[in-house]
Amino acid sequence: MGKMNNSQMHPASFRDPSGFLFRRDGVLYRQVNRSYQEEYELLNSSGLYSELVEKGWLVGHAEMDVEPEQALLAYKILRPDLVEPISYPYEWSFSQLKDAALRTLSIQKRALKKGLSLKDASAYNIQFRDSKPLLIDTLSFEIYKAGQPWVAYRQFCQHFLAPLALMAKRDVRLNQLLRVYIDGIPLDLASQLLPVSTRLNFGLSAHIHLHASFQRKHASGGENVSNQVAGMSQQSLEGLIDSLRAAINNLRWNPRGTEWGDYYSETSGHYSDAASLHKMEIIDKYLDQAGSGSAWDLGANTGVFSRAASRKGIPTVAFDIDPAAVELNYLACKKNKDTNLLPLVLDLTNPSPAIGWNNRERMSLLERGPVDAVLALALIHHLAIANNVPLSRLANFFQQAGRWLVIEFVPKEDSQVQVLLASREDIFPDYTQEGFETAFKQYFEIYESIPVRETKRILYLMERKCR
Amino acid sequence: MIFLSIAQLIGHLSNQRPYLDPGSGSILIQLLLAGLLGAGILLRASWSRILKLFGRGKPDQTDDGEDE
Repeated sequence: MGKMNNSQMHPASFRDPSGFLFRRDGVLYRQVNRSYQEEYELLNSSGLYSELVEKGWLVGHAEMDVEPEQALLAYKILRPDLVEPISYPYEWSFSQLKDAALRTLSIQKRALKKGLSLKDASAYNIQFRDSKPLLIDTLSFEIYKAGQPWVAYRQFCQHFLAPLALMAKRDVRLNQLLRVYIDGIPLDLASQLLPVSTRLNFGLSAHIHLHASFQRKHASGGENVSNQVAGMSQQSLEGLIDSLRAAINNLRWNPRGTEWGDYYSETSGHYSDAASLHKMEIIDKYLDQAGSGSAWDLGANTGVFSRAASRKGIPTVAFDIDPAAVELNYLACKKNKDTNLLPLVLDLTNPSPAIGWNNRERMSLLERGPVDAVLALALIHHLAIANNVPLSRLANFFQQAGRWLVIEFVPKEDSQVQVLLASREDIFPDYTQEGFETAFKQYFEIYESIPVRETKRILYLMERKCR
Repeated sequence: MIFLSIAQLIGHLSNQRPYLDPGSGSILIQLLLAGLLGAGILLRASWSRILKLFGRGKPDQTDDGEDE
């Protein structure tokens, strides 16, 4: 096959000289470089690749006969199985990050048994497929040499242990530090932010506090140990992995007592069972009409209505600002073995930006779209009234996010809006059904609107106008 | 002092260089923990062997503790 001009190196795939990802004619490929041949062959011949792929822990791939992107370096070209949607650790709830951490350690232990070891332990190498964490970087393994410590130990502590400890022991919102520190939370910072009591916890004391002070002491000591193999037996290395596992297993966070976690039980007063059922029926019908291949549920809470989409086999992301709601949703996904549903933490008033080198390593929210269908249920009053976003700007945002829009208009008379307006001046004369329709008609064709039984709310199905 | 001598002892085994800097401090603390944790594993292994001798051992678990 000839090399086409429309090839592009993946903007986040440049650090590891073992190979890189590139996209050609819309297909994602991975070039394995000759420098990685020995490792790649051992990954296969040891049986580790097939074992991990079979367990669903490592992304599978096919070896392809296509022209390499960089022929001088190339050993093989792979086509990895596509994993979508893509998410990042600062969007994960506590248990998602914890499961990703434990999976990384499990993979490392299996690898050691086959004579390999993880050479990096980046949280960005993990993605979720049907609520299960999956390593997506086939080139993360190196040949284990007896006596060698774990080169990815620092990265593991920064990407996983430090944020999990901060979330469990200080405040669950501190995972947002991962948005600032793309290579994980610096251990000296984590050490300072953690409560003093964590110094009595062996795992946290050793892997964070003491680790941070070792880093400080040996930062410029001139001891060139980093590239050398030290006398660390495999047994000790496995002990280290077990100790990290124990430290992480001991971290717990209980998703209660936050603003939204108990929303459905507490607010049953304004939403009767009949209304809920009717709402579900309408959403079901709209989704069938739209015939979607992908969906975002914005402001999904614990994902009750997201499941209307995911149950139809539509890959759906259930976004919510509340880490407790996302946690409950994720735990429910795991328990019910839900497929096609990914709960993520997102503040819509400040969605995930593009970050990293050249602002292109991690995609912004909108770069990961547009999707076929956007659900915006019981959301618009939070954005328009609590956050003062004009209706036309909301319509403009939703138009960028997806083709079809299932949106619930919540009028001022609704008890939830009354609560928002109770303590502030009503500066929203246009926030009416008519004002809403006028604003959205600039960007969307309104196909249908159905009032939700026993409420004052209206559900719309819209399709975006060509831009 | 101990670490310096460890640092001097090592470094003859490999020419493999990681593409990410593992950090001197992060290597050295692993060496410190290595002794402790390695000893812990040995202890646990011998303890479970002793328990098994008396028929009180736990059934073997998957070593990574993951749901299969």
